[in-house]
Amino acid sequence: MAAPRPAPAQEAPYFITYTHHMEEPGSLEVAIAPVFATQRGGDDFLASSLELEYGLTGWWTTELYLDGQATMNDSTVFTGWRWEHRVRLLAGERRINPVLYVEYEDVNGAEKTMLEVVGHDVEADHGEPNAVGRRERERELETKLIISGQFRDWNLAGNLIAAKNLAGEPWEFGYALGLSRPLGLAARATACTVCPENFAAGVELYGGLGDQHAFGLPDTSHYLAPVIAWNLPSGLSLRLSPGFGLNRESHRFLVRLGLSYEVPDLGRAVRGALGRGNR
Amino acid sequence: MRRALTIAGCGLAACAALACLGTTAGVGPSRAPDAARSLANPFRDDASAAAAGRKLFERHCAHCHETAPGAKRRAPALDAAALGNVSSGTLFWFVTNGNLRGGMPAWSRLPRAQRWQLVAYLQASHPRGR
Repeated sequence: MAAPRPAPAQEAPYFITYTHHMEEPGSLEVAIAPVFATQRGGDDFLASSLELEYGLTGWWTTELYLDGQATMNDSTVFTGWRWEHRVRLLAGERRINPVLYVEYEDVNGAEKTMLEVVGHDVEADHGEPNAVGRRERERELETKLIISGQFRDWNLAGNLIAAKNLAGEPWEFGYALGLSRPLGLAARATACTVCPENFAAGVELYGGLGDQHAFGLPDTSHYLAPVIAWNLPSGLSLRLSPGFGLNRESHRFLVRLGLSYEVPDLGRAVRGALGRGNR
Repeated sequence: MRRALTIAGCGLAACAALACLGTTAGVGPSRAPDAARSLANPFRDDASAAAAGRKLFERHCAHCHETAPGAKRRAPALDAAALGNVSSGTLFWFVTNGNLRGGMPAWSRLPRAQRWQLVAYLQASHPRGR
């Protein structure tokens, strides 16, 4: 029986911005992505999501998120779940590659992972006690148009976000932009762990664009966040991103950490675990 | 709420249909354009690059294009029959674009140099086609 080989994700290092690169068909990526944020007018918090990303086909990736958070001097709560689909619209590699994203989320008002910032999301939203936030339930539909391309080994990606609370609230809009590049372009002939080819670095810019009744930048929050990723040969990927609020409506400081592991060919891995091997 | 869900469902279905149509355009290395076929590998006959390519193959490709004897593969074996008469440029194009409908990912996420190293390894292993 051949053991499953680890498959380093080799993905762009972004936390917020999606690219046109899809999960490999049949592969499962398991990730946790905690974010620590400072909070004016309230207590700092640590929010996190458990992410299960699966490549259904070469052009269709699906992902389930389970979210929670812990607020200092308050409590630790489960805040909800999200289920997303990404569909790559065109085959082959083009200068600009469009991907459509559709997500349904069922979260409560204490959700603080900030994996997308839309509408008039501001720091003050996260200042209320968990007991109050949990009483508010938000069922949202979120869509994104993802455009992304590789330009001389740089990845440039932009996401335009439109989200709607299904309780009848207006459409809210947001954006995310990412630019990144591997630190080493050619691979070494020998195995290595701490070498430039295993690192990628870049920067993200993301924020809200108001809603359908008040489109624009007033009363919105925006962040600039350098990112770095380290893809270990063992199959683990580590990502780190300090983020800085760009206006008074934003958290002053965030730091995100990502840890992911990719299981290539999930079906085979499960069969192997059940002792059926390659029969 | 029902209207929003209907719009989302229709949108997703339309995208899936578009994706099905779009992906039919990228089937196999034979679809490589002439300009891509004629590209030369900057690492041709570079043993070090081929060794790096082997390492990359083991990390990114081998779990589908399994090389162990008797192993069940998700993807075709990359042997002389598959690679023998394929040019470097065609292989590079196929690695870059993949075959999304057939399950071959697009490896444009790897830097160009690493994709050429992969090609160098594949062709060093099966030296008939250059």
